[in-house]
Amino acid sequence: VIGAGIIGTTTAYRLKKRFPDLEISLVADLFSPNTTSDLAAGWWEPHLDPDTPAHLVEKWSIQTYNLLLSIWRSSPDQEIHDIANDLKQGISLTTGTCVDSSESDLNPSWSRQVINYAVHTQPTDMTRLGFSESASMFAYSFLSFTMEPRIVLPVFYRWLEKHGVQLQERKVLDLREVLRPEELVVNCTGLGAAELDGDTALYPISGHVVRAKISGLNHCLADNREETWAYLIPNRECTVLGSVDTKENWSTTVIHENTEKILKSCQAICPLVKEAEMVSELVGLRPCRRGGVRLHLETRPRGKVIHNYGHGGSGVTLSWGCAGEVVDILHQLLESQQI
Amino acid sequence: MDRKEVVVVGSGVVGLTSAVLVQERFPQVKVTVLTKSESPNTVSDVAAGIFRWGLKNPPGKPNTWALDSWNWYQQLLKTNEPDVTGISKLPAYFFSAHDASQCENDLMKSLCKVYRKCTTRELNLPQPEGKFKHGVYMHTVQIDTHLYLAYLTDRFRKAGGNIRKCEVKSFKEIQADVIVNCAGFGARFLAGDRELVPLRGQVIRVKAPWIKTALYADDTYVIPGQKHVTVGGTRQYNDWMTEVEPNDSARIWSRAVKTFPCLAEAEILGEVVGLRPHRKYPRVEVEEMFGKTVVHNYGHCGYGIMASPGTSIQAADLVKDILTSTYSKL
Repeated sequence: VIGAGIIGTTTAYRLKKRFPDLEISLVADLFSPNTTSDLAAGWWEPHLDPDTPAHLVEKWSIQTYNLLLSIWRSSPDQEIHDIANDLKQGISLTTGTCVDSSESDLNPSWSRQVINYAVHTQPTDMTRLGFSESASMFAYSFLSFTMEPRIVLPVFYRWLEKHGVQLQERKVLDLREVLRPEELVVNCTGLGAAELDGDTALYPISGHVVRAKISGLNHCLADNREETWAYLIPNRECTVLGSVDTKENWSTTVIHENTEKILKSCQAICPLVKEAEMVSELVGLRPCRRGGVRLHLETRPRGKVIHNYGHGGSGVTLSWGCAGEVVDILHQLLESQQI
Repeated sequence: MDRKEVVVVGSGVVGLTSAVLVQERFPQVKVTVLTKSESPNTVSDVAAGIFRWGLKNPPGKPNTWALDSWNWYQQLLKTNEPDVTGISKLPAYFFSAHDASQCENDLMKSLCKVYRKCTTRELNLPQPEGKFKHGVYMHTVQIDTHLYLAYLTDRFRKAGGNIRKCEVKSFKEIQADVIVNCAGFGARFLAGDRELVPLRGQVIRVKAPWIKTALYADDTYVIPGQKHVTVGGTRQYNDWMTEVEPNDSARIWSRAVKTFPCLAEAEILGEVVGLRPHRKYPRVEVEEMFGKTVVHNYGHCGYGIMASPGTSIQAADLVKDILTSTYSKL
């Protein structure tokens, strides 16, 4: 498996669990805390990616949701049983309220499968929820979870190593380096697939996230409207505030005007930001892809590869379900004796 | 005209709130708080601090306490300085296995901006599945008692008040125009009130920053504050033991972890005991004792933090009546 962010790591875990006799190595140039995933607050919420079929987004996301719920309740599946306790510290039950101006985004198909998804459409609802009243606004709320990659990735790594999965820190320069007839490659390299395999459909949407200590914020707040886009996601040790997003910008340099912008837009939805104590800020590149998430088997002259990349800003949300899909693909391969 | 003097006995949440209200309303009056214990060693400090009304109202009196208390905290919330005031908003789940009235609360429904009954899936958030038949979710107020008491102390001093540490053995000792009795459990002796009985509570404080919502399941509660999470509790009637009882901790912990397993990895910081000053309902009224005018404001049981603003506003009104009628006597 190439890539040790949330996608590669959960994929390696689910593969090893399903096929314990399989010899697996997890190869990446970066491990936590230096992966793209480490920047994420880890808030579960599927985003409508115009290119990935909605039913797949739903299917994969809900698998992750149910995983988080089962760990939180301590009724984990056999599959996650021995790691559940250690993961718990990185998983928080958090309710969230989000404001939007587009009615078409309300009641997405996944809303029926999460806990207590509710839509608020009256202007009085807005003031009641703490937003300034606006006729063109809608709000939705639901019970969700945060799964913080910075906390859970090391937990997964420890389990993988303990169970014989080799963790290798090295940069694979080209997919052809690793394609072999007797080996299966799982490509979870995110944006790295652009260089690794020449996928020109990949493009970054940079996200600038600020981490700050804010007392008294236990609830996720987001404003999804384009002009006022902002979010505050409580994490274990601090709150994650975001974001300034730029398409096709490959730079990860922090621009301080953007810091001001983020604090200002976040303060508009949460006055507590006024007293926030900055902890850190970073820019990460979301691995977005024209054509949607690439998740399928490809047979090349030198070997087979299962691609699992291009999750955009929904890596954490999609992770468990996509990892499950990779497992299914391999299962089918073995059944049909193609390997 | 001599400067009027008001002495407040007790510097728990009720005493400090009363003192603030009187001193701010009457800057000319000399207000002194006499107290045996100071934060962090008061009973108030033990409380997890969550606003969830359950107090009985004395018969024949209008129920202003709840609304006054809620509005007081909402004002403090609006200052958006939770690390100064100790007040923040908190999402909370209340579950009950047997009794809808344990969690459903008409008063909270009328006060909270977000209040709703739980869905079936939510009722299965606690373990085991199927046990909890009733539940509500609301956004209420969390009061970090240590911070809040420091805030009140600071506010009292800024208004010109004084705090003196000393144990008042009898109201006879005190020279003042009005004595405000906020001695909590101490009122059993000071006011000779045998109706006041300790309701012992033991809690465990833990570090579990992944817990963002308050979780109640009948007798078990898990309340995240700004500095730690409080896990409780016990309600031991007429139990005077102030030392930590390990068996209680064991029982509290096992029940809490069984119901909310997300707690299991928490780091235990310590255990504390508080004797709630239990009385059928808080006593807020004037009494002439030993030739002194005493305004009683005690007996809040487990609702001290929550109801202190409301009862203290009423007590301050009584103080006002006494002071102004004294003025007019001259």
